[in-house]
Amino acid sequence: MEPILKVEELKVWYGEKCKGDIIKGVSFDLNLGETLGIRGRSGSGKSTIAWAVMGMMSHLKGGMEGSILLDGKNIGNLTEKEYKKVRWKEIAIVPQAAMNSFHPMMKIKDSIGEILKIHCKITDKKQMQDKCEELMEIAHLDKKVLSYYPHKMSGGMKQRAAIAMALACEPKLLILDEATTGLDVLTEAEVLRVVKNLQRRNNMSILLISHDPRLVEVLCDKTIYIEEGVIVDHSTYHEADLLEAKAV
Amino acid sequence: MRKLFNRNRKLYHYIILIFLVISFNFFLPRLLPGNPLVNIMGEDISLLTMEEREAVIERYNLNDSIFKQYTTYLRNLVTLNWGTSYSKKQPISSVLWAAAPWTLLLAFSNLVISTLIGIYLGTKAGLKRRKKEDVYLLSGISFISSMPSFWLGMIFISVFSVNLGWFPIYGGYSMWQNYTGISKVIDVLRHLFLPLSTLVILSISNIFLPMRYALIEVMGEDFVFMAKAKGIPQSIIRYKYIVRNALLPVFTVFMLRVGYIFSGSVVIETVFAYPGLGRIMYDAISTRDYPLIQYSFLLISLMVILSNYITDLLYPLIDPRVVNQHENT
Ligand SMILES: Nc1ncnc2c1ncn2[C@@H]1O[C@H](COP(=O)(O)OP(=O)(O)OP(=O)(O)O)[C@@H](O)[C@H]1O
Ligand SMILES: [Mg+2]
Repeated sequence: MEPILKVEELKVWYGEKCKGDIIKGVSFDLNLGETLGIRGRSGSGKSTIAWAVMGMMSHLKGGMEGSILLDGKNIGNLTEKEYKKVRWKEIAIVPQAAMNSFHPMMKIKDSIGEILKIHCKITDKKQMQDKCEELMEIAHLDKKVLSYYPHKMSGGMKQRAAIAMALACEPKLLILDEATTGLDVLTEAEVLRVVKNLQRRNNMSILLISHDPRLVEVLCDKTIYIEEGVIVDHSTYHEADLLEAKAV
Repeated sequence: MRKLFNRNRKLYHYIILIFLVISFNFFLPRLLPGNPLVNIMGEDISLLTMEEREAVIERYNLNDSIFKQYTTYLRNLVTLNWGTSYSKKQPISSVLWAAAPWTLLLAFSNLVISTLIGIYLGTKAGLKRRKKEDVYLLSGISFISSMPSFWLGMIFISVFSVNLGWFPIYGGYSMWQNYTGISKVIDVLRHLFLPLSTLVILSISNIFLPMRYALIEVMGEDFVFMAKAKGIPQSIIRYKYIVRNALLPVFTVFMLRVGYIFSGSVVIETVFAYPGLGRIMYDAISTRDYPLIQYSFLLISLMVILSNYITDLLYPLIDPRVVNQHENT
């Protein structure tokens, strides 16, 4: 089977290239409808990989090398303009800093509506409202949250709203960067269950970044473990986890 | 209901403030040590004849109890019975009413125009941070705004009025012509142009600098980065995301500026012989016309409070969250 995402010899850096790479030649692939877990300690470069796949390195004042094939097409060397068409329709992300990712003066329904309008060409009011409500259900949020401004929402609510937003255009590839970290266990389980259902329905592929080995074990078909920008392990449980367990 | 209350609460604050200012205006000269006559009329009372003194004491009821004086003062204030200006030989209220529109015209045009230009240039500079355009704008505007206002005004007069003859040299309108309708408007605008330009040029940096700074701050925010990740078009990110959010802190600066709205008036109106309150105040101070000074200050204070109130009401237009908060809580 042709993988939906195939990353080869990915090198990523911030600032000048000569200062050294943060990601030092990483390769992995992800099949259609499957989930790949990315694990690693804080600062190992997980989020960096996510942003490189989103084509955001130039906005982070960095750069990348290597190839990123989405559906067989190399998106690693697209121009900013071309990448705009890939983002959110093909790949969407729930960022680690989901809390701060909303326009502070826009209601949630307007933030989601904006995306529906730009990427899905939905302009009909009724259709938009229906879609927004459906997304709220997926994210396990009350409908009335749609008319909230971000400052009135708790951290967990914002995180779930960010998940709703990422699913708005039914992307082929969904990147979840610690998307449920900080939610209580029940809500986390519920949100992930719905995402999982959606994955099955749409045949969506997921890149799941998490520090939680149990989550990765349950949800992922494959795992990579990153250490200082290189893949050091492909098993769900890494030796660090065993050390950690001992320490506890 | 709650919304109404909130709006009213603000109004109450302003009404209390106005009351305090009005009372202050009454009590201050009377609280000062020494003869209240001196404090009300100035040091020149020795020049007054006995009858004139009697008239002043009568006019201000200085022999009555302080409470009686106060109520009389309030009544006179409301009925615009503000006494006579000794230097102008006219009722104070008519002197000030004639002058106030000119100052309002000059100050408000300046406020609006310099704010808009400041926002526009600040946006231009901020979006091009550290590039050529930004450096030129930043250094240019910092340089210009450091010039003294009377000096710039005089340069303008000598270049554009005296040498080139493009604009009138002084005044708010042509006193010896009887313009009506559109030609009157043009005449007033021609007189307004140089004093207004001077004020605007010197005021731009007040908004330009905060706008540029706020814009640079906002550009570094997570939600702007996320907007790019969401593939939202550049122009929408620029205006709906960056500029709109940068306007919030700038509006706060704007509100503070409203408090100083008339601060440039004295110098500029004097340099251009513009017939506004600043000019009247300058004259009043140089002739020690105490009652006139007192009421000019009172009028200016009231106008500042009113402008602040209006700006306060405008805030929800800039930040929709304010209205919403009142609705939902
Ligand atoms: N914008 C940036 N500019 C410069 N360096 C950065 C930037 N973002 C991250 N880094 C560096 O890149 C390295 C990897 O960071 P990254 O955010 O990818 O780690 P992570 O694995 O996601 O960590 P965490 O689990 O804490 O989220 C870190 O050493 C960090 O200092
Ligand atoms: Mg991270």
